[in-house]
Amino acid sequence: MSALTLLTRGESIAFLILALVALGSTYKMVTSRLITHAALFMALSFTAVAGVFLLLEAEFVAAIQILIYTGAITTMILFAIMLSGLAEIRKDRETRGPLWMKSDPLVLVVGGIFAAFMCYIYAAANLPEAITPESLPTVKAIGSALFTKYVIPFEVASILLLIAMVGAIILTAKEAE
Amino acid sequence: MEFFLDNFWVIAALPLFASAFIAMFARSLRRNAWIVGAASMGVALLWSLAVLVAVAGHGEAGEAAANYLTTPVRHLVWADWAPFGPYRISLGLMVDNLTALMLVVVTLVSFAVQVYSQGYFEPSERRFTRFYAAINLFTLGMLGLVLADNLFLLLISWEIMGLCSYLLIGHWYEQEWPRYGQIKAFLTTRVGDIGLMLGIWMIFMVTRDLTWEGLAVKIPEAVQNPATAAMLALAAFFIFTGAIGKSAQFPLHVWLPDAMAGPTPGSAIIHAATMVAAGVYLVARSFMIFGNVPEWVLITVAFVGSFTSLFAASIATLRHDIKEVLAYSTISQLGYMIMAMGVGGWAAGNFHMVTHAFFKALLFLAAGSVIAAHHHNQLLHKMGGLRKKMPVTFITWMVGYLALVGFPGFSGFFSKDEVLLAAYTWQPEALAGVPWVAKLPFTMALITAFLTAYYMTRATYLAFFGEPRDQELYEHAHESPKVMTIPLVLLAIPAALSGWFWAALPYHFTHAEWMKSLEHFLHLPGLEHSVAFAQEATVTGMATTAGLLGIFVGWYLYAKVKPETRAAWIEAAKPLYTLIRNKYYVDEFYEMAIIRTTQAAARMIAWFDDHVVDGLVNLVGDIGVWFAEASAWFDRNVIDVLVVMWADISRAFGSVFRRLSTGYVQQYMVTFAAAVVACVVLFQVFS
Amino acid sequence: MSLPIYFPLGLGALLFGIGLWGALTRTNAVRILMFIEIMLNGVNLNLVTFNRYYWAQTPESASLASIFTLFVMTVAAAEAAVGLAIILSISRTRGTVEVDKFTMLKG
Repeated sequence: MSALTLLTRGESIAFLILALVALGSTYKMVTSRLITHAALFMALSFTAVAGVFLLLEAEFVAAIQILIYTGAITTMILFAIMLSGLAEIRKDRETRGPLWMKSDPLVLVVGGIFAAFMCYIYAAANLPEAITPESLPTVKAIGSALFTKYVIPFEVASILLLIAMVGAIILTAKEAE
Repeated sequence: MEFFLDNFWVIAALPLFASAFIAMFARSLRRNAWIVGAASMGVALLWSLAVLVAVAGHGEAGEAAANYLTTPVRHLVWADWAPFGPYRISLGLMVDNLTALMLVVVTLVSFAVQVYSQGYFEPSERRFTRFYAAINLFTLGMLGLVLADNLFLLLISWEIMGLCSYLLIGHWYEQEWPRYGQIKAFLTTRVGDIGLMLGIWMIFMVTRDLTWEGLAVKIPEAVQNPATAAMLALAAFFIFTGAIGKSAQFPLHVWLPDAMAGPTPGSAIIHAATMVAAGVYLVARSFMIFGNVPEWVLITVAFVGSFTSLFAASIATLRHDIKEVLAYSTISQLGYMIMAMGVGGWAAGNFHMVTHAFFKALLFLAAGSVIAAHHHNQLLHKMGGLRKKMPVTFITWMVGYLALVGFPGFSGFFSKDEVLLAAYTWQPEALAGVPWVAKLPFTMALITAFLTAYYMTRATYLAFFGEPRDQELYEHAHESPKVMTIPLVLLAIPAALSGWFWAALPYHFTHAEWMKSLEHFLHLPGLEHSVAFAQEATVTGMATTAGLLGIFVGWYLYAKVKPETRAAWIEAAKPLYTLIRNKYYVDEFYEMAIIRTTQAAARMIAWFDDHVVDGLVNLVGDIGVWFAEASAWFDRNVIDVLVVMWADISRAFGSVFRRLSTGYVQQYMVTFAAAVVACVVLFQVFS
Repeated sequence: MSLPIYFPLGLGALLFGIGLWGALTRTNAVRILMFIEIMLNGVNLNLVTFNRYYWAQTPESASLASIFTLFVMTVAAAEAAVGLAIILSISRTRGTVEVDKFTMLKG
């Protein structure tokens, strides 16, 4: 299969579009001046990655990606930015560091270098052919695994969330009068 | 009916619920707590009646499961909750004939008491809800005890009752006497409880099982071996000490009279249907142990019981406090039941336990009614002539009185008769050589019957007949309100009639088969008693004569003989009078023998502690100090130098490396990322 | 899967790299937190990809990635919540969220 046929397959095209959206929005996240914009671009990037998860036939992960990242975390950050009432939180300091550190294209260059480094490692590892699964897990199977075999990690995770919630409340609450 | 039988656990759940509910909502319920308690107990009573009817209707009821155990009609095992390796202790409830009967008795008395208490307590009573919560918990304890299918759950219920008796006796803990009484009751019964625990432990060691069903099978096997039989006999004796404590038998009877310090309804429930009956029930229920082990245990039981009955009855003859008379009468009657168990009259003992629960609860409540009407005066010598002022109380008291003295036709007549008959026909093999010893329990019981009739007549006469001895109190006396008299009437009915369920005598005349089946309801397989009617008639005649004689003597002494003459007679028998008046100095003996001895021993031990143990400890301490000083020198001069050296080295390193720690988070992050990348690269290069 | 494995792996690596760069160069603490989320997301993508390509013989093993990702996301959410709370509390006491203004950890 030539590179061109590979790239013109529907799957690849969809992936490339999603990847472009993800990379573009992440790039804009780094470069945008306003932090609210960065947060919204982050949401877009998450959504695009959720699309990639769908392409990888991981519907459950895609769904929780949308729910947790695009929904919960983005909202939380936006609320923290908007409701804290601190002007300070909204902007980056402009002047610190040398100019090259602020340079926008450098973001992509560094990212590309890192990706190339990783791909070199993958290539060096001689990744084998992909296997063909007989059938993919349904959400039901994941759910039942979560509540039977992995119930203790699951409960621990829920306790972690509870502790995080309590901690966040204690940290942000004004000193009790 | 089957529905009620299937869900018999509700009977125990109801008081638990009521107790928790009252305790939780005490502040908002206040005086209304009695509605919660009485309503739940009323439902429990109806439920128990349904269960009793259902059990009576069951064909297999009363049949033998194994030796000395009847088949449970329903058996409910909830959970294995204490697995000990291969053994387990389960939490199970069961219902058989005895249990079904006891359920009715307990719930009826508890219901009557809870209705009654509402009228008994002054409006100013502060711990009204506490009393109700405790009384419901108490009922739960007794119900749990009769429903338990194993010794362990029985022990738990037993201890619940111990706690609740403590709470009830010490209800008015601002006063000296209740506080003293509650501690005394708790500690004295504890002596027996330790025996019970020890006995349970020994039984578990031998049989590895605590359920009644398991014991009924395993005990007869275990007694084949003489060594285990001796151990089991000891275990049975220890269990009996538990019964001695709870059922206030000699020598642990001392707590019961002081338990009268509590409110009278509390006394009624403690001393009639629940706590004191628990000891008798324990012996009855674990008869598969008592019946199989060597005979000396049962002989002990018989003698302890009969001696206690005589002993307590003689003390009761000279008590001035109406509740104290009833207290000693309770001890005496409990002695009857214990004696009945000991002489093998299993059914007789249980029968007496049931009738006694009714008439003694009735007597206590009637006494409470008198006391409440008399401004909480309990002294008999200030009463008198109350029959005109309080007709309902008087009539119900008379029912209880006639039942207790064994007047023909009343419940106590039948049950006392059975007990005496069992004692009369007792022929233990161990005592075959000395027949007069084997007759001793019967003799003592017969004298007790006479004394019982005497002291009850005396108390009745002093309280209700004759001229009022304290005119002022008499003027203020009045009939109690309906909430107090209705429970009295409710209890008077079974107190009068429940004896007819023991239908041996009526059956003899009528030959109606259903009467026989009633009698067999309390019949324990493995204990056949076939007594000739002539023998039965002899005993009945003797007992009735003794009772009537007692009534006559009592009536004659107090109604006919002048007080001056009585005083002269007392003067003539001064030593005996003093001895009995002071309750045979048992309390004083305990004070001297146990409390003083303990204190003396404690002082000795303290001296030993001060001079010997402390000296040793100080010596060891001095040696330790000396060693410590030596090692401290070593520490300072050798180890510290080394430690300081290392500290200096690390400080030197630290002053170099602290420059890296700038405090800028992002520099740390760069370092971290670089380190990770470096690790990956290194791994890649070297693998 | 006809999609070459290097595609999603490369995307994950790119996201991680960009996120790392952003986290290292930007000074606003909130923004750094956002980049950390992006990095975690890249890692999740890697995880799911490897699972899908090499570890999906049975439904049970294929569901492992989903479950593990769920836990990663849970931790990420907890971390974001506590992180934001810390940032808010710091900004309240120090008046700034610029991480290069904090040198409390200085040795």
